[in-house]
Amino acid sequence: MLAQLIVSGLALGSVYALLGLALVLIHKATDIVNFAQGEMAMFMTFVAFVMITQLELPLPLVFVVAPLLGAALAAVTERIVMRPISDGPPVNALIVTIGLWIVFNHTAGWIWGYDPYRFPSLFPADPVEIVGARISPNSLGIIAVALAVMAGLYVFFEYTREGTAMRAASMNRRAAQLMGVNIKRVAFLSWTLAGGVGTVCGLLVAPIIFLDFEMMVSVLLKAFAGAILGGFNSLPGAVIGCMLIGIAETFFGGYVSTAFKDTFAFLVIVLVLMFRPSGLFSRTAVKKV
Amino acid sequence: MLECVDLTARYGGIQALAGVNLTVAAGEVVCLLGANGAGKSTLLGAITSSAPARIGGVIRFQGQEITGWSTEAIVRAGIALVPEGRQLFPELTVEENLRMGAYLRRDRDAIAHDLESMFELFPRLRERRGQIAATLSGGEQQMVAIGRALMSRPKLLLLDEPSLGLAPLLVREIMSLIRTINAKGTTVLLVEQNAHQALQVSDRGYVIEKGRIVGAGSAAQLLSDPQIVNAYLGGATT
Repeated sequence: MLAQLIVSGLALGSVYALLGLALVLIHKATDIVNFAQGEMAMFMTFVAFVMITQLELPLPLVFVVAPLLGAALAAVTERIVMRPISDGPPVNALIVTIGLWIVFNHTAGWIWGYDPYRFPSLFPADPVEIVGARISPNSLGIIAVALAVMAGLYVFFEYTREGTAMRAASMNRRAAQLMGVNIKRVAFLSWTLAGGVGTVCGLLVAPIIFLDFEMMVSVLLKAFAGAILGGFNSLPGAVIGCMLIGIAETFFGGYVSTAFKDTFAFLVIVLVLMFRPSGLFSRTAVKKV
Repeated sequence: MLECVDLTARYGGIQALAGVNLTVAAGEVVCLLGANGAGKSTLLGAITSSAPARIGGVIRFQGQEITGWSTEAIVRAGIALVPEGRQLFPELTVEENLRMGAYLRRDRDAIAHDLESMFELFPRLRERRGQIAATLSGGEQQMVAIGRALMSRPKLLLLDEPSLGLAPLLVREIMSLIRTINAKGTTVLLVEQNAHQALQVSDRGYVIEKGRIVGAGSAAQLLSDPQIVNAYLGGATT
């Protein structure tokens, strides 16, 4: 039971971590929290569903194409909606992302209806026996895909010129500008990356909880909780925070009750913001100049 | 090389620059002296298009008008600023900070070569190349800030109070470094409160007060001007 719970907790945590990464990516670059992140992922998962059921594309291909389209959708959204208001106060942009939430949510409902659909999984569902524990290959698959995405992000941010510039810009925007970094381009790239990563999250979570127009709401809440645990400004922090949320949720559901899953995430958000607003792992609060 | 004509800058209702005329010829070291809030940093911000102020007047660089250009275009044209308070990327390593200075360059081999020459100019940074910038001492941070600006291979280097917060010995080291950089062919505009040290390494100087140029001349002239001596050199300390 213990090993099973840990693996499914990590799988759930991986899903949250992908959305948490998307949130933190945009926040680091723009100081904006994109409340529409979950709904954009939901929207793209519906698009992926169309590719599978109507265009009859093979599932692995959809897993490549849909995130690219998700990145493109986010890129276009940034250009058309966010860029024109990027010089205004951040709270305006925040409200606009809430508006985007509603737009994507209603558009999806309008196009695809309000019924849940069964979404195919990339991995087999029947549990396999691994050293005495019955582990679901789906869980292992989710963890593997999430790790691959994280490794990709790590390489991008640590070893490429553009990735380093994005890190630099999140540390000191004016200095980055003085190096010739285009801050608007950094925002654009962050949205694009976040759009792709968020879509992967949607594709991984849909087989577990069914595809419907509200499927990402609770995922977004958990991703928030995890990202806040990690300080909301650190990509590794968000991953660890979301993993903790996933494990805690699974254990709570396994041993106590599944009735309070969402309440639990909200409790985490409130407690962290009250007692440790800079996250669990912050060494010192770095003051922004 | 650099020419500011009737340059004005406003932050909301506050006039930070009120018609500044200033030139820097190729090969010179020119210093701009003035007290806190006189408009020195605003001037450098205006030149690099990085001050959040409303700018008026004309700025020309190498004969081309650059007023209103983006910071990116200005850096590309060959101007680099070492901002006040270093403004390093605190969580990046020394080497990453230096490489960020070459962000707009694509010549990988030449960048590697320039990185090497930075380590020759600042041997202490070589030992610390993998260290996070936030853990460096003030003097080392200033070296990284200067090195980072040089990594863009600027024709004109702007320095905003490089001596601020440094021990006297380090101040002298930074000032002699400015001479070295200049000798290698980079034109320098140095903004300082530390007038005495700045004039020692400069060919010419300007004095700015409340957003207006109130004095100009060769370093020797300014050093012997009793008014300048009284206002900025703390009386007769020469």
